[in-house]
Amino acid sequence: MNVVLWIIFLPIILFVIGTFMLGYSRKFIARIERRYGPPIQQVFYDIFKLMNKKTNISHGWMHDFAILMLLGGTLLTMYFIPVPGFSYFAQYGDVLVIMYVLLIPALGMALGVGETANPNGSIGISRALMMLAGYDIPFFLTFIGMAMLNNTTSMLDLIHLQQAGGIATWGIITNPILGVAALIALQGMLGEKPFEVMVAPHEIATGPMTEMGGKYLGIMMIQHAIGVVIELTIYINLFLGGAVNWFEYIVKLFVLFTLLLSVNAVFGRFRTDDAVRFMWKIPLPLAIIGVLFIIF
Amino acid sequence: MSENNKGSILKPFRALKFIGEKPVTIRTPFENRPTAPRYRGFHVNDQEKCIGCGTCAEICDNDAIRMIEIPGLEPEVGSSNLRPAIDYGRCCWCALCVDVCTTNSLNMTQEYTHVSEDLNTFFMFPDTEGIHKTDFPLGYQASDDSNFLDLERVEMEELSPEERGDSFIEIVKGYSKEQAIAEASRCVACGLCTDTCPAHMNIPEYIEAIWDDNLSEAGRQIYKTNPLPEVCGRVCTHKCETACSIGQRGEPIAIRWLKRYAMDAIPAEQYGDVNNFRVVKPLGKSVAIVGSGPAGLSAAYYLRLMGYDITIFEKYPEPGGMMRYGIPEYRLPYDALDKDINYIEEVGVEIKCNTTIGKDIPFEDLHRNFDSVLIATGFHVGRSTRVPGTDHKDVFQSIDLLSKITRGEEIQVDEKIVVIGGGNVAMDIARSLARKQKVKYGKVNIIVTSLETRDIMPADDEEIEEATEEGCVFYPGRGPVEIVIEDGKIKGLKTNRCLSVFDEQHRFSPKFDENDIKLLEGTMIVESIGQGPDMSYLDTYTDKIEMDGRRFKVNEFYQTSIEWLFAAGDIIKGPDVINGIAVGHKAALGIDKMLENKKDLFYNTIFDVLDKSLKFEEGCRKSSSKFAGKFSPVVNNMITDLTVKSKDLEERIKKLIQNENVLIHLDKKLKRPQEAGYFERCIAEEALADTTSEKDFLKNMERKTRVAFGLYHDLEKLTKNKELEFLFGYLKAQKKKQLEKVEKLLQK
Amino acid sequence: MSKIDEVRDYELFIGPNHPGISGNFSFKMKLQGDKILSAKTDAGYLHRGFEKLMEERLFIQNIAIVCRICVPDPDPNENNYARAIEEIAGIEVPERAKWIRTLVLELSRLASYLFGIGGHVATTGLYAFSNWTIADRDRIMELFEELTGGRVYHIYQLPGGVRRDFPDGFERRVLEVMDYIESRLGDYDDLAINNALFIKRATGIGVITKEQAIKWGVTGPNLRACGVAADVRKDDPYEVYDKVDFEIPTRTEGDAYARTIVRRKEIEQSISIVRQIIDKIPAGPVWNKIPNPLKWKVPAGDAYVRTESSKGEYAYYMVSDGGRNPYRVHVRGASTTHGVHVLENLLAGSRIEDASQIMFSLDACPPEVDR
Repeated sequence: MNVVLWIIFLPIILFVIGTFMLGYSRKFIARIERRYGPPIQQVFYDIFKLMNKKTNISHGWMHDFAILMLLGGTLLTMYFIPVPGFSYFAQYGDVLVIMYVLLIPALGMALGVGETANPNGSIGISRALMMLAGYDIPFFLTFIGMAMLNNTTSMLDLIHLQQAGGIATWGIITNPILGVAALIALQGMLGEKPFEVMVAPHEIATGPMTEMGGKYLGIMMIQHAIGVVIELTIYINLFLGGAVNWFEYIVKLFVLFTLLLSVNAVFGRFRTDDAVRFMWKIPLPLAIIGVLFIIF
Repeated sequence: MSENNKGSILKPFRALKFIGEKPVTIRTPFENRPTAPRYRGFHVNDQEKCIGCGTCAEICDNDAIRMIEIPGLEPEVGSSNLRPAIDYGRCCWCALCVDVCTTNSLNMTQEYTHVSEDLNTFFMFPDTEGIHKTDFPLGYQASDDSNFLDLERVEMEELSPEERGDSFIEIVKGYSKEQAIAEASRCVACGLCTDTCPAHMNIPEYIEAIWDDNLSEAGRQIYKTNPLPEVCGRVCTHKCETACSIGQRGEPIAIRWLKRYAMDAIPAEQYGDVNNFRVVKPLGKSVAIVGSGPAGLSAAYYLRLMGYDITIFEKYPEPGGMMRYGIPEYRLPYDALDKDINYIEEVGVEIKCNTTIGKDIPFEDLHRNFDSVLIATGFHVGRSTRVPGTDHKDVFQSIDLLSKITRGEEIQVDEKIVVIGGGNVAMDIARSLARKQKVKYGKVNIIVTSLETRDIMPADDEEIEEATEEGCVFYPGRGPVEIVIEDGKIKGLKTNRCLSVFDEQHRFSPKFDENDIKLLEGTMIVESIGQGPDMSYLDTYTDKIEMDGRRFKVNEFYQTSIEWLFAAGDIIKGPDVINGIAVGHKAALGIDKMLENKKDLFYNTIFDVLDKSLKFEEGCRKSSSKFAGKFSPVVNNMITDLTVKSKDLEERIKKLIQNENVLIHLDKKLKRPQEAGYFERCIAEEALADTTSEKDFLKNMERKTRVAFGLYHDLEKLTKNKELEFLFGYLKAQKKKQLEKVEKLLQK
Repeated sequence: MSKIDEVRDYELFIGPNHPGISGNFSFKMKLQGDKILSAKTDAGYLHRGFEKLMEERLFIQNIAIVCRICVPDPDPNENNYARAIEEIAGIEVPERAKWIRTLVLELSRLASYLFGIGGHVATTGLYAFSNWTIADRDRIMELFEELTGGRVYHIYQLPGGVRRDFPDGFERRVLEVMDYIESRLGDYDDLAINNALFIKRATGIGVITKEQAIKWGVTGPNLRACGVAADVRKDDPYEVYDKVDFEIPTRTEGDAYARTIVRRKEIEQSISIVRQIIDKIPAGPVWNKIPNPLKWKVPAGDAYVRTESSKGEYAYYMVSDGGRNPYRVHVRGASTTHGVHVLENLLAGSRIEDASQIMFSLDACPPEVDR
């Protein structure tokens, strides 16, 4: 019974946390830009308004299905990641499963945007997939590394190990090289600058979101909110010792997010090839070194 | 920065220091952002100061300001019943209207927010409080830093007192062309002068024609309402200048001198062309006019243009009435007066001088031989104070002396003269006698005394000043008691101080202080306290005419109770030349209405005049196309070309007028009613004989084009709608081009 | 075109409502993947018909509309218009008015540079910088509001001088704002100008060689970034530019980064000029009265006047036929070459992510192109 309640409410809880984090990010960046920024609940208002809009143009059933695939993939990933108090599915899914499932949202978006005839969207999607190639490989390697280090592929075990040993056993302390590599890859995964090339409003008019309006955009924003939370959670679980209770969880979420936002605020965008090159020049070698470290 | 700067990765993080600092943005509407003291926001207009001149509407380049009639606001001298209203959908807040305002009543506040779902609330009427009635401080205000109007008048050169003291040469020298154009450029064409002028002359139009150096157009505009412009250009009492909006903060436009300049510059031979005069339709009816003063001459001119046969009967040897026999030569030289009167005679008015009705011809004969009679005999009998001693032989009436001086007869000029009176006629006689004294004795000794004190003396200020310069000494505020006679010779005039002239009901009832006595020395007394009429010639009709007090009872067209008898001039309404001219014109319209049983004397809406203009164009086209192919190829081409263009123009006008959207916003009333008779005269056709030569045809075409140009020019000024104004301006420009073409062909 | 090209190449219409274009402007591009093969500009969205409008209005009424021809930098328009009439009609301008006009021009230049650099850096994604410069530019807008009554459209310079004198305490506030902007320059350098990422993105983009620049008619900071020290203020001094000291910074690379560096350095020069003006300005009247503007005929003649606006050489050619309205006014916007010809040439061969950066670094302003 408990599990069923969790299944229903977990998305909602994470959605709420996610929107607040997004609202917080807008305020934080606004302060660096010396302005006040919108109220924290602005993202709620945006999503609410978008979901109430009428859709006039349809790009076909494939497009609609793909958008649902986008959201569905994220939700699926979410269930496999342990959060304080709920790790039912995490017992069955380990790090490798998470890696696979993480790809589904991107593929879903690619399918959906490809159905629209807008070249802006196509360019955006091609860039997104290129970036995927860029950041996913180092991230994958860090997963392997952490798994090798602790002789388990189950995320739940990794968390327990870190919590049992205290701060000294946090992934970032035991293997800083892997931690840094994963951090940089995480920035790419979140789509924050300097790896924001997928969205790039000035170049391709917000890329994949060009043809999305109304409910589609609403669903994409919901996905973005939840996606941010789960991607940060993966990192926290692997390198920052998971979280025992919700309070610690939320604190760690915000601290990590603030760190990433600081980099987001003061840098511009990489070009696509530069971004991929950067990813392969820095996080990838670091990850390889880190893994080698572990092996030897 | 060096050329090969690789930049740094860590330095950008210094931007994070702003996280703790207060942001620089302002969260309106919760926080208030103060505006600068000079902000150009919404307008306010001081309704007391504003005179409704419309200059702000004139200069607005988005046509955002409209002058609207305010119900309950009465027009006065120098102030109309219009006030500006602003369409904030068009306004761009450039503040040109504030900088050009003639009274500095229009200003801007610091308010700039107005939110409403109702579009109509964006048409605002600025008053003293601002549009939302909240007390916003003033923003952009008019300042002397950039005041657009020219407030100083171009000085008119005059003879100095030394130069003019002993001769009757005209004092005012007149404007040169540069001076006239400079003075004309000061005018803002508000039209307040036209409202105040008794004859409603089209003053802004002729000032603009002078500025444009188009003197024939100036003459045409002047002659529409005034056939004696040389006279008025010198001696008019210029009430228009009192109303001039530039006069609010500076010196009014010198309208009188500009009129004089324009008429002086047109030679007498060209008057006919300028006015496009021709009597097209003789009516076979005749009108007799008794008296050739301004009222009589004006009525004669306009009646003649309407097609009547006019005969003026004048008692004196020369026509002109008070203009000639009352106004001295140094103010109105006789050749200027003759220029105007000669033209009136040229149009076909017969003036019989030295003919006294009642003596040479009985009044009854006039009624028998003419269809209508207009009496305009004026006030030529001087009034006397009737104090003891006025029957002495050395006591004269000013009007008699002035008349004698005009006729060149000798008059008695003593060494010490006392003039009683404070009006313009008293100034005239005092200054004329001063000149005579200067010639005869080498020095001036004239005393002028009047009941009124200096501030309420009815004479013009300029007259009093110039009289003082020429040596006259004033004793205002004194009333005559008796003329002191010793040994059969006059010693002087005994006077008392006058305490007040009018009583509470503003009736003439002077009060004197019997204890304040002063003897004004002089051997000759001239009385100049007023004039009265001599109506003895009416003999049997005197009892038949209804009276209204001391004057005849007349309706609005100056028709007396006897149907065929009209009365005009000083005997009905004075007191100056321009009033006489206006009354004479109105009486002429009345006579025409009675004799021809006309219904509408005025056109009031835009459609009246437009229909007629289009018919005129059509007529021109028809008559021209009759001659197509008959003349040389160049002229033939021109005829076909003009026919096509004229048809095209007519189509455009019709399309615009029939457009639904235009009709909704169209203000059909004209700014000023247009005299129907004038209009009809202009567009009246004369049939061209089939055998017309090419030259005559071209002349006729030139005349018609010029008429059409004048019509569209007038319509452009008369319409209240900007769209029609543009349309008429365009048509006017087309006509101008045609005119140039025809003139070029004529010269060959 | 081979079969493969037909499939691979596609056409992209970057239209008038696009965050990557400064204004309402559009391009028709042929792309192959990420690379732009050719681009054709499609101007006209901002055509408001100013040159014809000016023919229908009195000379004085036009001062309310000329400032709207270029939105970020409106004062060279007013200055050109006033000077053209003064040249045709032979009107003298009082000394103080010339100094005030120069002050207004320099403040407008500062505001426009801040706007322009901010825009360029924003195309690379660094929005913090553009938010800063817009906020700091607002201080200059407040100065304008105080002096002229309007923040963006000043309607302040008219033939014969300027409309109003300084309000009380204005000089002090100007110097305060100049000190403030100068203090911010360090932050600007740290965040963006010396930002490794920005340098990496902006170098080598949209390179114009010296010969190309001269052939294509490039002017202003764009030309100075190619190594040619040309500035109308020095070559053909107007107002009081011959009485103040300033330098012309140049670079030689001719790429987007060099153009931004030139603008950044000219901000310092402008601040110095403003300080000199406040120091040296003489007293006196601010306007030589023109006759009643409702009845004012400018004598027949023509004049070509030019100023150095923040975008380049800005010129007016005015012809008067002796009437109340101008007979013809032609506006040579500084972006006429930059926004059309130069952009087309630079875009061909570049990549789509750099297209926006090229346009913003050239500071091409579509209102000037379209009038």
